[in-house]
Amino acid sequence: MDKKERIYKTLSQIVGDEKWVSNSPVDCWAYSYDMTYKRPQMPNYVVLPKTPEEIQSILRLANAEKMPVVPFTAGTNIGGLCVPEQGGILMDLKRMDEIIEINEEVRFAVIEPGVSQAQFAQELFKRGYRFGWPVGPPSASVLACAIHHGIGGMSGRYGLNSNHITGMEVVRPTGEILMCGSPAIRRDSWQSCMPLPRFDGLFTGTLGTTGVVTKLGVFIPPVPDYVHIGTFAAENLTDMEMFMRTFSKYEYADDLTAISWWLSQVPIPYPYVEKPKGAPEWTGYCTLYAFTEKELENKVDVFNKVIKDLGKKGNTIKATDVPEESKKGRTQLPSQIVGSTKNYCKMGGGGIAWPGTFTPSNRWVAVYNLWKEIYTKKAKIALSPSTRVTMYRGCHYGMLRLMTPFPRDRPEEEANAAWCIREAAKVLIDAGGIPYKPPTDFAREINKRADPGWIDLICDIKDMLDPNGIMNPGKWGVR
Amino acid sequence: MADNFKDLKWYSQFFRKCSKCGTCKSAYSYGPPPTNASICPQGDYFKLDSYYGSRAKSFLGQAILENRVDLTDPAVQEDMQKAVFSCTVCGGCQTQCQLDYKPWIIDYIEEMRHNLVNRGIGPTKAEKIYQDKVIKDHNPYGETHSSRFNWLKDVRDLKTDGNTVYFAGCTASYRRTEIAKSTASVLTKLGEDWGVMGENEYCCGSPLLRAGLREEPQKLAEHNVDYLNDHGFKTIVTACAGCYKVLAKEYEKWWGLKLKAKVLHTAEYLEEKMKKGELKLSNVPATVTYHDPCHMGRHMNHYEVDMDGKKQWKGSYIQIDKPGLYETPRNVLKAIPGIQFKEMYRNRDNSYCCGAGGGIKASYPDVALETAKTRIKEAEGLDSVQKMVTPCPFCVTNLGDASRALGSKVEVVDLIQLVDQALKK
Ligand SMILES: Cc1cc2nc3c(=O)[nH]c(=O)nc-3n(C[C@H](O)[C@H](O)[C@H](O)COP(=O)(O)OP(=O)(O)OC[C@H]3O[C@@H](n4cnc5c(N)ncnc54)[C@H](O)[C@@H]3O)c2cc1C
Ligand code: SF4
Ligand code: SF4
Repeated sequence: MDKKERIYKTLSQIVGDEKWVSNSPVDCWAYSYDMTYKRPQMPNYVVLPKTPEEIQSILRLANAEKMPVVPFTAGTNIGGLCVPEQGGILMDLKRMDEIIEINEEVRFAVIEPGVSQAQFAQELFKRGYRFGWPVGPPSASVLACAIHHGIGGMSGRYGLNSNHITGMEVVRPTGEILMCGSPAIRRDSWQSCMPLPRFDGLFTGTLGTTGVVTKLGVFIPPVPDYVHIGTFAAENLTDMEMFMRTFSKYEYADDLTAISWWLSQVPIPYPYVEKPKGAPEWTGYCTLYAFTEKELENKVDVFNKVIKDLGKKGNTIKATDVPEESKKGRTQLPSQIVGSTKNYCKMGGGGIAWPGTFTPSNRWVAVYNLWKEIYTKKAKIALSPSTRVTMYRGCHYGMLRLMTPFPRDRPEEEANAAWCIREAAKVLIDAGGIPYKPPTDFAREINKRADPGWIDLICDIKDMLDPNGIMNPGKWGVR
Repeated sequence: MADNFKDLKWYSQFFRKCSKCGTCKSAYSYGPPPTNASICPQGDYFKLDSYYGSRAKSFLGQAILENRVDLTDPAVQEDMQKAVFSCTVCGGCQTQCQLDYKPWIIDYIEEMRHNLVNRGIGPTKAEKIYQDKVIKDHNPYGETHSSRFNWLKDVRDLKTDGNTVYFAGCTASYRRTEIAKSTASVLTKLGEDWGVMGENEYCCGSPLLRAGLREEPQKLAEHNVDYLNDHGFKTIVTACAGCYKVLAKEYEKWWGLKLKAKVLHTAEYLEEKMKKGELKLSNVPATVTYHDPCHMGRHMNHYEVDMDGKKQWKGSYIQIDKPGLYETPRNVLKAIPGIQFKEMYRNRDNSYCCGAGGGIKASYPDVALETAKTRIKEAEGLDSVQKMVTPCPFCVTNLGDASRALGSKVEVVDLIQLVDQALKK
């Protein structure tokens, strides 16, 4: 039996049925590319395990064969993160789709990797709970998003989705299972990662390079009874940022977001068009949730007061009145319009990528101006600077993201978009921002500028956890 | 005669616009409350991304067009055939997609099949067998053509003229004769001057079209259209969702063959009668649910597309400007006194396929049966539902098989059978 056949047979034995394994180029092709400009790379095998035990066996086999393993849930990460750099085994985790527990008393849920945003939203809503739904595809994994510092509709109030993590079960690259957080001490206690050392950090933000997370505990807050969507506009990002910085100190908004004119269009204009004269360059919204009428009233009062006070100082920020329909879109998450990429890709055509970053708010303006120059002046084909800023809880930093659609079937235009995105990422990192879920080309740029001690530690940890370097190799650009 | 089929390259302007967002893998609606349900029978069965939704079909089309896989390798041919031909072509994925690819998804999947047939990578063995039968005997069941209207003998003498012609279709003629008999009975009870095509009724062509054939169904289409147009019928009535789609839409769409008579599904015919106050229905006590056949629902949606870019941009999908037949059959069903109607979770545009479409019942019987079982279980989940009603003999067959395989108490019946029961003589 040749190696290919042997590995195929062993994988089939592990998962109990040939149905859950393939080495067919037809199946492998479907896992070879994503929505970004990343060149296709085929895995050699696709396997769909159902249990952590099966994952253990697959990883042991991969170590013995020195074969890469790429964890995959829905492949919607907008960064080519599941495109196998070096082939190997693509581990599709969608069969592990159980919501294991929703604990309403302690307010946590335990989920498997294949649980989708839509599935989780449905089950939580039935019970009056919610989560930080990203504006991404409903089919995407809650777990993959949370362990990669996903940003959701509660990030202003409760922080990133990784801040909601209360515990983890992980299969290490060498096949051992471990628990992080409170379930490490008692298996059914998923209340918090603290006060233990944050070993969950070894598996968060690591792009599937340090292990396979097989269970995740997350905090689930209740759905409040009252909500108000505040909407506002400013002529420029300087004024908008000042408003967001000022209002965010109250920590009243679950979501505090502003978008440039180009992103507010459904869909994003492709290629670039001029903003109509008189239209504000920036519009924004905040979702104010409350458990009592009084609480809501207070929040709305403060929102209005901040706008008024800034107005008196010459800031162009204004409260706006927008149709109820478009307000709804701010709370109706996971979003159908955004998740289906209708607002991003419908005109551009199929491809999207971004510099999606965490950046201190006092650098937003400088970076945005550089981005505009790259996109509208330096690019061969001018592109819309469709930018979003979202303030996170904690200090004045947040998402600064430039969503960039392009046609998949026109290589020159795809290359144009890729060039713009890479250039935008470079100026961003230079300004102190950091791309999230970074594609390999961004990772290289990050590493070039990184503190050597930090790189050394990453390498040491990677070598310790994954001595054969099998886990999603190449993604962090360090090994 | 020239046809209006487009090739894979032409469709690539749309399928290459798929963003790989994966929204087509399940039916989700924000609500509130948010609802989520599986929608793709093929993906639900095989699970691999190469099988899931219209996203998979975009991957596969690109692989074929750009030679991304070696289609001269027999093993690859086999896998490609399975990935393309085990889809029920139900359109559940199409409902979810929001991009300019959406309007074309069904036609494109069938074009992919046609492309593979031309390369000798299709049809499946089972399809080849029934296709030969259609070509020889004008029905896919291998029955003699002369016995097509045997079922009518129990009902009345063969009559081939009249105001209205009942196009029975192959499944009702040979396998679900109770549906054909009920249709005949209803038409008679309503005092319709009706006839049949007799030995001139050929298979509508649906089983061949669905499997990517072009010339053979054209011959069937020309034959049927010529006969129907030459015989002065005013209305063509069919109780089969598959025949309905072909007669009402595809003969003209693909070959410009216009039927002079109005084409009505029996559900539409009955609703018209109802509106005129001519449908006097008596009590049928039953708790029922309704299953939307894809060919009558989603497949009959009409999509507005800005082909020349006057409204938005070239090729942009604007909206569904005319929905398929969702309310009509429900209106008829709900008009029967004594009927307690309960809607399944997945309904209308988000209905779950019965599992039999696209040649799957013959080629991938396990997929067909497992899919139908899921649907029966969904009905079982509704409190005290006794019957699943659907206006399609093919859906009745597959869902009925699943009900029996599960030992379910849910009985699968055709809408026309219930109406027949409710119609006073
Ligand atoms: C239109 C659109 C909008 C988006 N908006 C947002 C947004 O608002 N906020 C946001 O946070 N994201 C957003 N995203 C990004 C994306 O939806 C999320 O990152 C999503 O959660 C990824 O889930 P996935 O199932 O697609 O993961 P995949 O793409 O399959 O995987 C992502 C990464 O996780 C790794 N991985 C997967 N499972 C495991 C596991 N069990 N253990 C270890 N590693 C694993 C993979 O190897 C890969 O590196 C958006 C995406 C799109 C297309
Ligand atoms: S077919 Fe439509 S819904 Fe499916 S992945 Fe492509 S764009 Fe998204
Ligand atoms: S047509 Fe139906 S079976 Fe085929 S991919 Fe779409 S949803 Fe799945």
